[in-house]
Amino acid sequence: MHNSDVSPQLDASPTDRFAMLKVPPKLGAAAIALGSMLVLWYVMSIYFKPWVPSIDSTVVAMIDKLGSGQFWDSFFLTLGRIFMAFICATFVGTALGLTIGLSERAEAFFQPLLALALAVPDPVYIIFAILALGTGEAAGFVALTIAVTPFVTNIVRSNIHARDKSLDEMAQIYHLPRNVRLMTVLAPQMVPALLTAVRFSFALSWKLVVVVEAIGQPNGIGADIFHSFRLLRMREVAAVAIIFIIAMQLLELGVLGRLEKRLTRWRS
Amino acid sequence: MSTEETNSVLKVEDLGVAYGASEAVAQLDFEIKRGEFVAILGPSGCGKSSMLNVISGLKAPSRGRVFVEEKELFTPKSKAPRLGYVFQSHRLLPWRTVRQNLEMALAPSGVPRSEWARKIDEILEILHIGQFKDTWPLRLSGGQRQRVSIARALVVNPSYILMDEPLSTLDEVTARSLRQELTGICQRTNATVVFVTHSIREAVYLADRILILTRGPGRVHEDYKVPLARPRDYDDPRISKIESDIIARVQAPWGLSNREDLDVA
Repeated sequence: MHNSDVSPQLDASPTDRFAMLKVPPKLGAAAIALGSMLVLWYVMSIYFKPWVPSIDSTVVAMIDKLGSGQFWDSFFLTLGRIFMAFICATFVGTALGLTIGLSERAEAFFQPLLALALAVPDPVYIIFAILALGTGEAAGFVALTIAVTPFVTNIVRSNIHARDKSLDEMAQIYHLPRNVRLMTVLAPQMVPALLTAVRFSFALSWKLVVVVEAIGQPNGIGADIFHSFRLLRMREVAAVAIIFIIAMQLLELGVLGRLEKRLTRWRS
Repeated sequence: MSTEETNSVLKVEDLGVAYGASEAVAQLDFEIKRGEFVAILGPSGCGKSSMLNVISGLKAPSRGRVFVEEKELFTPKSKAPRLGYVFQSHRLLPWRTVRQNLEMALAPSGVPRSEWARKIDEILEILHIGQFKDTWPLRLSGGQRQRVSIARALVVNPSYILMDEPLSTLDEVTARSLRQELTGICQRTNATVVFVTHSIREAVYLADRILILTRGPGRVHEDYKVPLARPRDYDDPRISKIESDIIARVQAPWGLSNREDLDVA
């Protein structure tokens, strides 16, 4: 077959082919990634049987879980814990980040502490909190807040340093009051950083909550996963984890995505 | 007090700015009267930025005194001057619409809130950007953004307006059109303008007077009164002649061996 005989459709790049199928390229790429993951899972479920559950048995387990009242009790309990820690870490981290970023004295004081806090592995906070406060709600809340706050602080602090300082000068020349400078000039510049911090805080919170529950709580999604693991019910471990991951992604895309779009609409 | 004294908007006496042992500005003296358009020309490193920082009230001088409308700045009781500033880049808040940017500057200026809308509409109309009142700055062209920046400077009823190479980032066609309108706008609003530029031709076209500074540390080498009536034509051969005349005057004090060495402001 000569080159000229080759169908133009076979010659086309993957992007062109998606265009021909009227599939948005991003969606197509995501579908390929997801498909590859499923293939990998399928292969692993054959080679690592029974430790990696099969796809169909996991789907059945997911349907069972979604129909179970006990699962939803655990789900909302964990969700409540995530929000408590996430909100607290975001507020404390943002306030600290602003303070450190705007004051040289505060930076001199907090910077070594921040470096230390960032270097401590998260499970250390969890273990210390459980040892100090027992296995109640307070231990998880404190451990999570302490673990997440330094990351939020660091993101906000770095972005304060990277802000457009020429706007500070403009604000000074036009005598804008301090509160206006903070809310109108500085805060909007921080929106992308704050959203990154919020996203990071949220992502880290829900991952750590599951760890905290697995180690030191009698209930919640983490405790359920750990319970299933001890009974070697791996399809239940996978089912609970997948449902939770999907729910967290939907929350992030639905709430944070919309918030971001609204706050940065001036860019469009 | 004489009439001449009451007309003084900005007066600088024996101004010096130093950073440690290094002197950026030395013994700068000049006075600008109400409604004057004064251009400032100087070679690179003549202390232009330091001088602007002082006369905008951002930095106290190391030596000398600055008076705005007869009141001395940088004394314990003095207030920062009420001025408009048109920067090289527009420095608008992109997350605020044109109107909101102007309102933000108006809020601390003492203009009653009831007058804001009228004042903003009036200034935007003068600058031919009334239709963009509720537009985000990122949707405007470079020239339109700079017009908004000029509107922000004018709207606050400033004692004087500092313009720091405001047309240097625009393309030549836009710069030419804005340059043409600028003198008319300033005359209509009776604004007092200190205009820093790197273009001698632009200075001659726009200004009533040109303060030619020496090499750093900057002093006033010459206070040059532009001998042309208004309105002026940017392509007028007389402007070219004055430009050449100024270049000849600055060649020795700026240490230039030929015209190609010319690197001003």
